[in-house]
Amino acid sequence: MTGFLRRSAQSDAEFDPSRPILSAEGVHHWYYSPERKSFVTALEDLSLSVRRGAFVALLGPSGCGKSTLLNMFAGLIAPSLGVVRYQGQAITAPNTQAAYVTQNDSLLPWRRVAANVGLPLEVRGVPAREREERVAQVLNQVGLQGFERAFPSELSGGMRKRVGLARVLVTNPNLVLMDEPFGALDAQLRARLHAEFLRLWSERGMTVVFVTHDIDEAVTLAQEVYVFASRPGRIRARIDIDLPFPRDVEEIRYSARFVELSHRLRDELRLANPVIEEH
Amino acid sequence: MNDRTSPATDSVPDQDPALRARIEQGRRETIAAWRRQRQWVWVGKILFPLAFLGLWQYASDRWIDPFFVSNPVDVAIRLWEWLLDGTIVGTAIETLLSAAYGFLLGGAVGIVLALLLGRIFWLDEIIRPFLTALYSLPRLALVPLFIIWLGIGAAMKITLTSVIVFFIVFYTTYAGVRDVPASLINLLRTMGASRFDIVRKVILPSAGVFMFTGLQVSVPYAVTGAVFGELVVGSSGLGWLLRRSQNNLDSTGVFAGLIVIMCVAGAISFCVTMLQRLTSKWRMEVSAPVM
Repeated sequence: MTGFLRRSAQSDAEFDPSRPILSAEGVHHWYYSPERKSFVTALEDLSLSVRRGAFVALLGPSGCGKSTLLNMFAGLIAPSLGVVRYQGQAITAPNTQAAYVTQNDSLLPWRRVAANVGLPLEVRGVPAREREERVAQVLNQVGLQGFERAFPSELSGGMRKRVGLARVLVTNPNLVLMDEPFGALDAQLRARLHAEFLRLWSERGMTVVFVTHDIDEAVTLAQEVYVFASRPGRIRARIDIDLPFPRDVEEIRYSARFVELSHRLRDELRLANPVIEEH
Repeated sequence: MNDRTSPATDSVPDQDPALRARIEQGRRETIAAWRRQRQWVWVGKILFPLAFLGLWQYASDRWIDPFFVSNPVDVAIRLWEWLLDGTIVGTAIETLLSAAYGFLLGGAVGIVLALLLGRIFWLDEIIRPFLTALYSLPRLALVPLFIIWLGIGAAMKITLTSVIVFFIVFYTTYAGVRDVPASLINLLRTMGASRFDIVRKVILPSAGVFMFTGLQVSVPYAVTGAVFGELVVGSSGLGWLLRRSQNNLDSTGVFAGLIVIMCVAGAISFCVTMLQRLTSKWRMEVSAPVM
């Protein structure tokens, strides 16, 4: 019963655990910028692949194209040149196998918590009774039981994030695409959500691609980090984060290896993105 | 153990009784002052219109010739007569229906077009300059054209009303559709939602506030459209009633007609407000404590 949305029958047939779940091959992206009155290169000859079950961070300053790449994986943007694949197949339409999380919590303010969490199930035509069950179960997992009937505006920022997380988990996704999901939170709350999310990731065996500009966040959570250079956006380095799991998100930042890795990432970022006085 | 600065008076058993009494008295006085103020507002609400009517009644025949301003008693008598002989019901229903049909038609077309142009960018670029050009026309200047096309009956009034309502509802709803956060739409797309799903689950609720503002604002304009049509050429309805009274130099009749028009606009406005209450509960609950 729990696996009812995991995979379609078709992709089950060609399921191959050794094949990367996501890949980008020679991706370029250009778009017309009305301000500059010319085409801008957002991504330049970018290739990477994400293996099944991995926790990958895309790290870079704003405007480096990391969100554009994430949107390509979500099937919201098509690359101008090159191809992005999900389970080996080119992504040409919104990727409904992926759960997509944005920086703002993106809850529908006119829907109560339960209706927000149940939205992806509703869109997929899951019957109301089953929907209710799944929603109750997942709200329980994120510690929001009893808040089913609240409107998002009645919740704190942290609770809204949890609702967003519940909405991701309710479909049992293979793949979670996150665009700075813990951006606008205070440090303690952020650490708590980091810990909870890491636990959910290891329990469920999902693949996570995570966009961030925060070095510490990338080292705390990810198994591998792609460092982006901007203007035009491209990958500068790929760095393995060999810190063992399970990680204690509060303690790990004081370990020598953590410091070493975050230093290294910062150096890469600096080299890739020399400071340009602009604004 | 007595903390004299503490405001928590109710639950402290060993508090100085004199202090306690003083605080209790202060609390009662605060509440009483608030009540008195509320009462005065209510008295004012009733007195102000009464004073207005009284002044009108007094001034008429003393300061101003009643030929121009009539007086409240005569207007009330006239309304009563019209109510008895069926004039009000007949004309008001005529005007109300023209206004309501025009309102529904103009509102529906406005909303649908706003959804289309708000979401389909190339269509928007083609169509909207054209609409903007039309918008610059005073709608009432279209009356001669509508009379040539449709005669002087209900069709003309409904068309005029719907054109007036259309522009108001279109522009407000369009602003609402453009205001929908792209992140919400993208979210629904990644869930595999159809275009229809996106409109129904995101765009309409999100743009709803703008849409209802447009509808609410256009109610008096809808009545204006219907009444204006009747006033110029109609042979029935409240506008016609006004014109007949004017032709008879009957200011009492004109005032009575204006009051009926207010009631008609009030009726439509009430319906829109009720519909809005039903559909925007989430917003009401947020703003309720502030009120």
